[in-house]
Amino acid sequence: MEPTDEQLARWLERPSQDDIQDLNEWLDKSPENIQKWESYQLLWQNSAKLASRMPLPDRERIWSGIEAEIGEKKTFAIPAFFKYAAAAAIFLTISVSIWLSTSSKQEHYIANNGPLEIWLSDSSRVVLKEGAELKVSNTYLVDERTVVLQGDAFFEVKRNEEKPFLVQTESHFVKVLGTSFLVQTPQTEEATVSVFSGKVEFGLPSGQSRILTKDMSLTILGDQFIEKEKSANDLAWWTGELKYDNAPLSQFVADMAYNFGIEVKVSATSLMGCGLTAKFEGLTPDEMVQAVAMTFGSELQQSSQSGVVMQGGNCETGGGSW
Amino acid sequence: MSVLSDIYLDMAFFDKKVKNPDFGKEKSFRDFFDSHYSLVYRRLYSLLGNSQLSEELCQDIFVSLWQRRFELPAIANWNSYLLKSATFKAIDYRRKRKDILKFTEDLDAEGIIAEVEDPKDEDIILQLLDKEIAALPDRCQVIFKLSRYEQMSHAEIAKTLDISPKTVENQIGKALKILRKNLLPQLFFGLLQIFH
Repeated sequence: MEPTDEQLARWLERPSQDDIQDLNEWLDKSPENIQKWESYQLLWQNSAKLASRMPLPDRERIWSGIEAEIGEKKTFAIPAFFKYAAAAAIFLTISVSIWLSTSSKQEHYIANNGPLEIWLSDSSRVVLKEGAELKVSNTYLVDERTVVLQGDAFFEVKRNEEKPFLVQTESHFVKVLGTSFLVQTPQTEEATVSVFSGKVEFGLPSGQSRILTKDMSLTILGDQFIEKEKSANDLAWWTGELKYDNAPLSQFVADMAYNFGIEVKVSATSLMGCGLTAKFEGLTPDEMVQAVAMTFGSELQQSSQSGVVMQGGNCETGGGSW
Repeated sequence: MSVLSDIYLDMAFFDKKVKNPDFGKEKSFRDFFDSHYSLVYRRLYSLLGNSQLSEELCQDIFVSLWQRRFELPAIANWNSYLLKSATFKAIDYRRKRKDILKFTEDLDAEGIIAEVEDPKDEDIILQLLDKEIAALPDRCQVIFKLSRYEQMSHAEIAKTLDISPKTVENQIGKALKILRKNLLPQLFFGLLQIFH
């Protein structure tokens, strides 16, 4: 009689008194059983030795595969197409702020591939226009809230009355409690601040400054203070939205150049004064130009990589929505 | 933007929800990996017998841990957690890719039969045993390998696989009987000895 599978397994590992008794009875029954038992023991012990024959793992090789996976999402530049910007921004949100809370130095952000969205440790948000740079000290929020800006950026500042938020540019400063505003610095001596909500103080470090409220826009050029109407189109590089209410075509040309670096040449200068009423949402910059050309019945020609020419056309039609 | 390149990896530090401190930063995760990878690899290799595959699945296990670091509860015994993960990873792989594993084993087994002529070579004899074990029915094989290659007690195997100790005993006994039957010539001629 053969032992059951369970019995055999127990005889080889931690047999109970009963098991040992069963085993001995079985062994006594025939010499053949003794032979069988020996072969089971051989198999049992030799198979345990197989473990030592295992090839050693290559630790660095395994780790490099892991590193490639977990380090995958290290990119921070937001693609120029706005459709993807939102998704990328969510990612940036978390990553940038942590790093700010752990880093020990001043940090330097550069938007070198499309707009770059940065969330500071107090949940204030800064969106850098392509080419802009922002420096944030490691003591941000500890002592004060000061950032250094070069280029253009949109700010959404969380309100904190004890620690005003200060933007320093090369020649100007913007001081706020909590608000959203756009800072444009086309050249050293010139800066424009457009307020989207709240109240900001904009001025020169030498002392002159002005308080701006919602929808106000102020340009400081040298020591001149020039008030103008705030234009949401100045933020199209981030929002991707442009809106015109009977605005001259020249404004559209200027907006395309400022927001997207697209040079639109209008061959018939008379067309520049044509009124444009339009709202662009969810279009690429190229599509916006195509839509405008169509509106005025112009032919479009690519003149360089970032330049197009609008040939011919007239003012007759002038509005639309895309 | 090289300055920012490691930000993503610092996420866990920011998010206080991480309950396992080793997952706080890439560096500490690397240390965690260094002290546990060989355990994981070993278990995978025991059950799969293929080093490249075991390395790949080992990667998968650590990547998955990293990705789930915010959801993972605080784990007190990492060794047992990882061994269990590796065991199920291997079982899962065997189930899905049975055909592939079997195919490579068959190819190798042919080569072995020719080489077994020299009975004094311990390596070859053990290799033959290895191949016979690899040819065992799946469930039987995993349990037998955990017992023999991983030196686990029947109770430990039962606990790891969430099965009854009786099932473990049943499968181990079954494995031994199959092995004995298939290796009878070697056993009969005393070729399979206890090597020291």
